[in-house]
Amino acid sequence: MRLTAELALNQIKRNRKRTIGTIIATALSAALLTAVMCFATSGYRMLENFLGPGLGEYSGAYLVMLAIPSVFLGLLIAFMSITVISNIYESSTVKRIGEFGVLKCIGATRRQIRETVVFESLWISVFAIPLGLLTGTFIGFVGVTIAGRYIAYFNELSKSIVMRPVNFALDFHVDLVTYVFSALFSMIVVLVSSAKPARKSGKIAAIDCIKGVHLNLIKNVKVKENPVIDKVFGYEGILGAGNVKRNKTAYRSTVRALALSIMLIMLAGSLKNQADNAMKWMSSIGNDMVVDYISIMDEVDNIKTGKPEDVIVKPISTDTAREISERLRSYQDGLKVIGVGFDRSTYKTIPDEKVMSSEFLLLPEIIDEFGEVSTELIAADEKTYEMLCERAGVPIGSNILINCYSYNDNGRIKELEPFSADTKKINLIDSSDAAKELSIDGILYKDQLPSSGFYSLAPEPVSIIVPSGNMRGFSWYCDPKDDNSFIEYARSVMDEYYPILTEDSYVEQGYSVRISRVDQIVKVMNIAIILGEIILNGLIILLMIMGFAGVISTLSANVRIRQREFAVLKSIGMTNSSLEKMVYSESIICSIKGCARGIIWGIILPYAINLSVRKIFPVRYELPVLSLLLGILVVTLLVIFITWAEIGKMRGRNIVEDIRKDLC
Amino acid sequence: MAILEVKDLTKKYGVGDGEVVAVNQISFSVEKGEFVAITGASGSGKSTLMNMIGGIDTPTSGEVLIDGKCISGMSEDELAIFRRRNLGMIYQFYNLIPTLTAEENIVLPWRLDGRKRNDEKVKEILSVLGLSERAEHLPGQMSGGQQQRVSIGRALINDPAFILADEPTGNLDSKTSGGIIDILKYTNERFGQTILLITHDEKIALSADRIITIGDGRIIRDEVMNR
Repeated sequence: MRLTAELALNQIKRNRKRTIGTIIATALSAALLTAVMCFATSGYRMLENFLGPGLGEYSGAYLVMLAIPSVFLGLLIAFMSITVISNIYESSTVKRIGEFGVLKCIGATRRQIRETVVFESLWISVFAIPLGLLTGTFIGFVGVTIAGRYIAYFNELSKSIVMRPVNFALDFHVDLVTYVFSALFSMIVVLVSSAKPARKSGKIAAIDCIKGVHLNLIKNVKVKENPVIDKVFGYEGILGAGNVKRNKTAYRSTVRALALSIMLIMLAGSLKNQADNAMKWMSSIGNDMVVDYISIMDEVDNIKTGKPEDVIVKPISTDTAREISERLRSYQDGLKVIGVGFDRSTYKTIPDEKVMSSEFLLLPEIIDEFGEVSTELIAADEKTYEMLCERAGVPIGSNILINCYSYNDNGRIKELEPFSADTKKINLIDSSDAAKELSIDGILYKDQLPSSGFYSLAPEPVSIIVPSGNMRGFSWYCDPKDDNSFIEYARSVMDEYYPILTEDSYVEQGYSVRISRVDQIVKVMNIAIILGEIILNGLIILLMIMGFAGVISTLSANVRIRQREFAVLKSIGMTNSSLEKMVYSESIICSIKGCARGIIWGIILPYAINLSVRKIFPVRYELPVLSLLLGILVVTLLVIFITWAEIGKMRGRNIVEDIRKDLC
Repeated sequence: MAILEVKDLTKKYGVGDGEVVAVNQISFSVEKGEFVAITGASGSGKSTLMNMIGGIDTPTSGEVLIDGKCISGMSEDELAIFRRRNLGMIYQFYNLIPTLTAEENIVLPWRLDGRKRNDEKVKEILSVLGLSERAEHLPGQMSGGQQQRVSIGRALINDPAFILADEPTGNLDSKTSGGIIDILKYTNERFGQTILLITHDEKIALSADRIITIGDGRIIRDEVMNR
């Protein structure tokens, strides 16, 4: 065995406590990477089972979907791991500085000194990486199993709603690539972590090693006495603040680990807030029972104009819809059924500044690339239509304009009235550029519309209620006494008109029928968010454990390697309580610095995520006050506890022995 | 009047066959303003004696009286406060706080005692020690001799009853060592500062007014030098 490897092995054997700490940190890092890889491998296998080998037509997009979170999490884990593990090796080199001095004196080269530090990390890896791979497989198995259960629940819910089997199955899966990649990545993390301390050890002069000179660069910066610190901690606090300021390198890892911990707590809190608000918004469409028919569309280009054209494959006529409405009403005496159909495919509106407000026309994405505005034709069942005509004060057979448009304004729901109150006609245009003038006989405003059927999460800018027509979809809203019995009855009615053959897919059949309470449908939509939240929180918790391990290792190491300095302070008259005050003040100052940085990043990161989220959901970034307070509390308590524990170990130490330390 | 009285001071390490008597029933006293050198071969018990006089090590038996006060029965914190008010310690390896400047290191015992800053005194000490230009330098930015002068300044700042210097020149070349001894002598003559210098170097010891020689933990000679 090479001498440098032998020396490293001796070091590992002699310092068991530190070795165990390093093995745990390295194993945790490898475990987290393995867990992420398990998720990626299992996710890939799930998509492959669903879409076929190679992921079919959109393989590139799906691979990116898996790769982006994996790479992001991998880098986050790597950064966290390097911070923690590097600090452990640094404290190890500080302890070995005398040994390096002796080695240099007897002729060891810089390279040999570097090698012995690197070998230390390699020895640790021999034990830690396999342990990490095993632990990571277990974490991955638990995580994938939990996620798999949510997906099975999603399948069940979807099946009950669409009456057709849904076959997404997330099973735990690992292969050789998972382990090879995780092991390689972990090895790189370990080598990078030990590289800096190794370089430092190689550079330091033999005489400085023997004298026990500090590895860290102490900067001669002017330290102003902070009156607040003076008031709270006294002169000991001033001393502590000076130490933190001048010996930044020694405290950098602690501050960084604290900042990362608080940032992760805030990130978890903020993402939870955003997910909750998105789910709350989606649940805002009420909880009626809904029977829903929707036809598939063929997307083609119009032969004449080249404009995209959506062809409704199996439209539903208002006559059929009205028949179904009556059949559903007959389920229960006095059952109120509101049937509303829509066609968003046939027409668009030509903007008209005379009747449309400029505020409306200036909204982003209102006018499309062809200079037209998306339009929805709405038809209702007979009774509902009569009610709407009555509310609008127009006779049956009239066209009624809904003068209300709500939209997501960068995370906020805004509403406006797009048309002037005296709008009498609207110019519609289809994909073949055939224009049609539609007379507007009446106008309805938001508060005149029924609560069911007329609220959409993504409404069209122009909505016109027409007396009849062929619609793409139709939904019937009601609130029966017995859900199960109604679902059975409604299914039998719909089967007469639009039978569901379970062996056929949505595409083959040309339509889909859903019968369910609205909240069930929302749940299906929410499962992806909940699942994402669970996986993300799981990883954040594991990363936080690493962050805490970093705080513990760096703070403890900082106190331990300064025993001689503390002994000197005691010898010139510093009392134990003064010394404790100084160490506590250093820890608190580090916490404040860590909190300040962590809070800034804990705001910036989720805010940046929200910039994308708010484009889809009307959800704005909110400062997660509870998480912030919790983060500060957790970090402060952790720091105080570690400092208290280290101070406990300091008590009763022999000043003479400590002063002589590292000088022999 | 004796500023320091050492009575039957004994320090033993280990038990049974492995027992080592580092200091064996040593008694002596030092008058105010004296410059005493304690000398002896390596392992004779000099540093152990100094550590017990300084209250950073506890004797197995016997007592140390400083300015008439017995320090043996004091608690750790009482000793720390006593040290910063009554003693000045100088070590072979300077033992300065690496994150404090020369001036901050010098005023450290003062600040620990919550005393108000006396700029004139600090300036005077810096000037006497030839450190005026180095006041804002960190220990890492100074030579060994300069660092030792800072540690002398730290020992002087509180007008201690006496200064305990343990091999203050042990880590320095002969020229710098001479400078350090000159400073100690100067403070002794100028301020009447009592100094207890521990050294194994006979030439250095000759600078003192009185030389106590220790061998195997006992005083083998105690002679006053005729000037």
